[in-house]
Amino acid sequence: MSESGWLRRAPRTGRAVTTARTGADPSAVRRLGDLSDTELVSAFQSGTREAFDAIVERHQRQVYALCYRFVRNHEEAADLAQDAFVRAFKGLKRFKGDASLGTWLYRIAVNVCLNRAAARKPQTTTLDDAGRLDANAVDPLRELLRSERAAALQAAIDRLPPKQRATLVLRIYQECSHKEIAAALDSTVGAVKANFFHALGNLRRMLSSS
Amino acid sequence: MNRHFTPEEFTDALDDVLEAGRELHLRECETCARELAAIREIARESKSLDAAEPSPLFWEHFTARVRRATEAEPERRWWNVGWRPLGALATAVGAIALVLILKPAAPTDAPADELAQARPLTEPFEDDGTWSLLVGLASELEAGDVRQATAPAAGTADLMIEELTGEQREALALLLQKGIGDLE
Repeated sequence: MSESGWLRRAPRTGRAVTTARTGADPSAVRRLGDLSDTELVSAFQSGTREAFDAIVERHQRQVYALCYRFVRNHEEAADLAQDAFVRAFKGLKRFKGDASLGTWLYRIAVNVCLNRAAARKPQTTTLDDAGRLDANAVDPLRELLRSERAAALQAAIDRLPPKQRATLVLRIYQECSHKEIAAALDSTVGAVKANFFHALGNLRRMLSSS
Repeated sequence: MNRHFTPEEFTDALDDVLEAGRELHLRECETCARELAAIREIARESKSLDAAEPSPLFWEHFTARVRRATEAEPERRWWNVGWRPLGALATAVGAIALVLILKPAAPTDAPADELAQARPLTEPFEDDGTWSLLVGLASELEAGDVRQATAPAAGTADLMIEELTGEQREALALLLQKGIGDLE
């Protein structure tokens, strides 16, 4: 076969291969940590596997927090976040930058969470989760009522339809713009705004009826 | 226009980005004002729900955990995904193209007496180099590769093509077109 440019792509150095296999070189990851998301993606697509480690370090908190808001369980949230990053690893070579990397990661994480939610019975919050009367609190009764209200609200969020729940989580907890949410959920800005309104309306109705 | 707020307008009102003309309706419509106040309170309460932060050590472990999980994923470079069938296919196409280019023009209608005098297939024929080349190329292939190239596992071609960049796909298309064009 003739020598064309893409056949002669420079292979990674032996050091990089060794580093990838035995664990990332912390100093290499720190240098990569100075790059922008676009530069990290480009580095990864060019064969620098450690660039993905830097991407994980930069976005792991947001992705984990999103997953946690869905399942409210640390171990499960860690599993979902790991799953999301593994999927991102597989798909990053084809990432074209149509959306920001963060939005793209959110999109993957939301899909992972929605798939998990569809596969299992929704985790419900009971009033027992609200805690007990704390006699040492300044106002124990008020604290108990607040705690019960919070548990009821969390239970209501758990019962929202998946897209409304995803919209609520991304808007309120991840503070995403409507445009970013639309990109993450493969929707439109108008639909996202309507979904957000309906989510809040449903929460209000569920709380008033409980 | 004095219609009630749409869902999108309620959300815009929550974000304080409502159109100027519609703010007047909010001042005049008790229903919409009440609805907006209620969902604003729900949004505020939802925001206040706690989510326990994991310890700093968790993040170190998580990063390592993701790294182990991704290292377990095979590196699917385009030449690793079914490269041998691709090589076998490319070799076969190239060999066919060479045979067609190098082989002398075959007679269209052989006279009956020539056919009668044609040598039996069991006897060796004169090799002008084309046959040796083809044999040489084919000898590099394992039977399994040829079988896989001619009858790949379901999805193999899709996987291969999926891994190619746009430039690589164009090159492959040109190679196949040349091979198919010469056959025609």
